[in-house]
Amino acid sequence: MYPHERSLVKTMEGKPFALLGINSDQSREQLKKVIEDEKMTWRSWFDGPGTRGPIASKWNVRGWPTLYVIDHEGVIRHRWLGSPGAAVMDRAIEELVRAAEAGKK
Amino acid sequence: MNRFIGGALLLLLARPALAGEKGEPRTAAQQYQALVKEFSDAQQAWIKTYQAAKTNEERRKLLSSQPRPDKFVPKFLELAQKHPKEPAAVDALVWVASYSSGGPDSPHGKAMAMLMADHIQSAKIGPVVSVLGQQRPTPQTEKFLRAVLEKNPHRDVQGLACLALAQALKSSARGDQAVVKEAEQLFERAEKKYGDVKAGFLGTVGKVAAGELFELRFLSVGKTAPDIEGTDQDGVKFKLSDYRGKVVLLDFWGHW
Repeated sequence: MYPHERSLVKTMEGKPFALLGINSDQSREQLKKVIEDEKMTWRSWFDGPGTRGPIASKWNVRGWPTLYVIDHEGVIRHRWLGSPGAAVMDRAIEELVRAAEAGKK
Repeated sequence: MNRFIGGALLLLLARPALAGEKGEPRTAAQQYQALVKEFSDAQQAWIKTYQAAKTNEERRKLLSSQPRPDKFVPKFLELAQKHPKEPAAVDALVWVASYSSGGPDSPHGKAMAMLMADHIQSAKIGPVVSVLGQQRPTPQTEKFLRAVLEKNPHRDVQGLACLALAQALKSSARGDQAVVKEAEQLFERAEKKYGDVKAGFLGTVGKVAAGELFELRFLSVGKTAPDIEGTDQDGVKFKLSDYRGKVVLLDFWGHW
């Protein structure tokens, strides 16, 4: 998970893309440690302690990881319960990033 | 990190054990209690061993020896098949249906068929109904839940069936809008009519239904995402809408 996300963020540098996490670990300290240990270069909201935080509850999340892809206009375009695999994710995101870049012209 | 909040699989059915007199043939109820105790004892013993483990390596090794329901499922089913008219038969079938899954020819399927034929109106089938709502639905599941919703006279069981059927339809819809619509209507009915019915550790039927309705209405593909507000790892406030204009991959995650 972390290696793919690290490479995705790197590939998308300078493009209209952001990876944002919603973390449900036990403490902000624990979150910071994981970010450091796993060299995570993206931001996460801290929604803990645990899995019943306000964001995960509002979004009715019952399984981890749950992934959403939102396009540049704020519309939900994909929802995955569990990772669908790097290839599927990359393809979906690349298509939407191209659309975002075209939209800006 | 793969964790899915399951249903009854996380619950230990705690029932007091009834001791039979030594030498006397045990009743179906006593046999049922004995099986429940045997499984519970095995789990408790394993938990003790696990907690006493000193290293992650030891703990990892122990995971493969965790007592699983699989060994007990055929014993409970056999008990129900031998004593179909006894109250303990329903308990045994509920145990099998809650602790296993599978197609029509599996022990799970056979238990479901017996529950469907003889015990649709029982007050005891609530746990089965809840578990079915959390599992991948089968045609057998849907048929069963519809029958319970229609025929079971107990309000709490009806409420759980209404919710479970809505969940089953929602997860099997595959974009079929007619199915999604029915799921939505059932969630609404669950919320309005059975809101206060207890739904295990998830709270109440009303709470679960409200969450599912929110997801159906606001979080499906094609909807505009609601905003998210919160603080990051350094305590800095930020919102999802700060990133409008960019493609966003939202990742609900944990390291555990």
